[in-house]
Amino acid sequence: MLSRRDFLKLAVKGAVLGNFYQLITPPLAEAVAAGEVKKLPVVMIETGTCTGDSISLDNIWTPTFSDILTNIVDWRYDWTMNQVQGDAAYRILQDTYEKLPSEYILIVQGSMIQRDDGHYNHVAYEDGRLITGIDLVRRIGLKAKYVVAIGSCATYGGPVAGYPNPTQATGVQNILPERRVINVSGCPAHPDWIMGTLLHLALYGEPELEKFGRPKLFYGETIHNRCPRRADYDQGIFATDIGQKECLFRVGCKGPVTYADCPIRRWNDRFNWPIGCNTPCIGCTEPGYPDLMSPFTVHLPDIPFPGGTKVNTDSIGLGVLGLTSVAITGHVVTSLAKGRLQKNLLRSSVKVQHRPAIKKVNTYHQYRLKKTKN
Amino acid sequence: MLQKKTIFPVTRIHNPMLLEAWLENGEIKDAYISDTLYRGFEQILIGRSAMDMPYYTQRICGICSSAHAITAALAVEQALGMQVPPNGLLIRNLILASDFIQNHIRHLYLYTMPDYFRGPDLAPFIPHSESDLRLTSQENTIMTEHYFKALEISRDAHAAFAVFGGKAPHGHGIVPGGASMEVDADKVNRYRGYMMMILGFIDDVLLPDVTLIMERYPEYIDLGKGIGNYLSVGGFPSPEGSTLYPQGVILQGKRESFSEKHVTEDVTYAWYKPHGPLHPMEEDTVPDRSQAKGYTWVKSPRYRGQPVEVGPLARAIINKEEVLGHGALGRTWARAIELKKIAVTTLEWLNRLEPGAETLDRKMGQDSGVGIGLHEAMRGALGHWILVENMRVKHYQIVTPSALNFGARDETGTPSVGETSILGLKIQSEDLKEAGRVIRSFDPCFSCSVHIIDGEKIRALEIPV
Repeated sequence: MLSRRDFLKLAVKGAVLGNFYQLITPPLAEAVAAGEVKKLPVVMIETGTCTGDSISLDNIWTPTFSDILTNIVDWRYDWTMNQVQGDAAYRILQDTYEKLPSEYILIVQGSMIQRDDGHYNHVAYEDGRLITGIDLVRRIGLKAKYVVAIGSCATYGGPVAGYPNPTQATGVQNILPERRVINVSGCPAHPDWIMGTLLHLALYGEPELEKFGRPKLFYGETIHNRCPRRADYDQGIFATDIGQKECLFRVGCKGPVTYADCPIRRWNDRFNWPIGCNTPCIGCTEPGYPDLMSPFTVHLPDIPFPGGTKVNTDSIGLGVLGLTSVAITGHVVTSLAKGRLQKNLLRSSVKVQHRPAIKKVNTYHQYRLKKTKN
Repeated sequence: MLQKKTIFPVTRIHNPMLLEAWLENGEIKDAYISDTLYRGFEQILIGRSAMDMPYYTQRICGICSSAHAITAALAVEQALGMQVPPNGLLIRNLILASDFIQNHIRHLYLYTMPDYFRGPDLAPFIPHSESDLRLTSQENTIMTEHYFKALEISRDAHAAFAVFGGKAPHGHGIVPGGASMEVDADKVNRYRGYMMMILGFIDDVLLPDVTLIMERYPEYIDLGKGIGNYLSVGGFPSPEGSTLYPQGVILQGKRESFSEKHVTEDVTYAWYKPHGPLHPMEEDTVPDRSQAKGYTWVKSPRYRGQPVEVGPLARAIINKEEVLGHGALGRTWARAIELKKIAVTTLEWLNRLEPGAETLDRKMGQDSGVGIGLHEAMRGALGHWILVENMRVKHYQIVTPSALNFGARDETGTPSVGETSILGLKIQSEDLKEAGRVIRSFDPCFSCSVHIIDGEKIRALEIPV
């Protein structure tokens, strides 16, 4: 173990040299320089996605992208960045798969499209045949050191799996039940969450995960518990429509059931975030988003569920969130009930009359979670 | 003797694009461009709350999220009879403008430039695409620096987005009725600060770089022309009612005014249950992979039955601005000029903001209705057609710019502008780099082509010789 003094010395030296590996592990840095150890090889496969997570990753503030490519990862296959196209690009993926088994990290962006055996999404062309997203992710994923799913679509199906889920989209874990998938959810995932997870994998191995496979480091606490408008909530001061400065719980905020560190991390140069923008959190990091979080903004007497059910606003307040939390975490309901909720809010909101919509939605989200082995 | 080449994936494009080109003596004689992903957003949107549309439709595309947001908001506002206050209009312009700037900078450096310069010996730039590189090694080094600099500056554009939009991509700031963020000096100050840094980058780095590429590759200025049909639906409204970009159409050299009534979509060569050319309000989206003629998931939108080109070049031509050429680098130049124009205009919009004045008006005239949202997105004209009943979406159809540029062939077999533009290209490289240059100049984004290919069936198509 390094003493604190040694560590400080190292940190200063690393900062001067500006080399990432030197900052943390000098022996590794020497090995990298000598060419004995390669940078962490990464390949990215895009399936049913909007590519929003690539764009989000480009938005990373620290470290800069040039630093990432130069010092941290060997960003091999990513079809938004590769200079070559066609076979030459696909060969990079093949080479990595054949020559570096159990060394590379597979990043998957986008939901797994299952309809017609996956033929609604082709991602590669091999020997005159088109390869489906599911087949490629399974093939590359089984030999990867780690599989990281980024974004809501890759983790739990996301907006593509919204009711009626026309493409039978699902998360990566469901098509790779043999092994653990590290989920970095969010719509899009915050660049810090993606890069922080990769860095953890590079330096310390697999991060501690919570029950839905997400790193506890980033998804360990609800938005609600760290929300700057929490004081309003506790005192029962609620906004009546979006665009107002008070707690947005009554206009659809899903902060109480959403696990992410947005309130303290904030987005893009850390100035703003959805609740700071006077709009409700839409729960984009949770399994079941978007259906269990819809409608995003509750402002009508009747809440239309995609399945066709209507729920009255009087019963919706805690109702939707309660149901969501039953479906998601369970313990949030109790913490809400134990918390300092205003009586009038409870009175108007705990009654729940209709549940079928949730059931219907739920069939598309089967979370088979791997038991922790190590 | 025709020789077939299949390029998949065409990289540096949003989402999968498959190019199947038929060559004779090194010249492209026929080409099929197809999108190999179907997600079915138009089906998913049915039955949802109309108020959620600006948020949900953003998830169609990660690089032009705010364009979908604003177009969906316009459609919902028209359907429900909502009025946006002047401040709200300006803030929405500012959000969309910063996203335009982000998109244009990233498209120029991340997607276009690697076709013309040799990147560093570093993944993901290796292996290099060696053919037809004309920059000196010193210029290559400078261009690499600019590449990474552009990545950093484009973050600033998204940070400006987040000032009024909450987060980027997939922001929260654009909602039916206006914008959710209030105006104060702090926010104006921040937005302006980012914009000044971006303007400095555009003047000092970006425009000289584009000029350098045009000097070294002069033939590409006019290589890869479209067919002379251009369309713009206009965008960036001011409170007085005028717009930064006007609406208009040019069909075979003749200028006419735009009417959404003439927009139709056909699915003869796409994977949908067949119907003739129908207006977006009448058609529906029923995916069907057994369609024998289908080769892509993109429908074929037409204006008056003709394929049209959309994008920065079309906007410039319709706005009667000077353009240098109509080919690949002509489009790139138009994009760079537009980038500067929008960045400068944001400063005017900032000046017109009134601190404290309302930005959002949620009053509704009715709870059912028909709405048509039309707004220029980064890559061209975007339209959302919505039918709302009791605040719920009854019908939703989206015509995206990439569908206009790269849609399937229509019922008469006429190819899209994108497929036409690479015909006759002389190919020297192994991986059809020349075609890649032309295709990328349209800034195609197949996430946006909401509707997509089955490999077996492509080959079943009869290729006219």
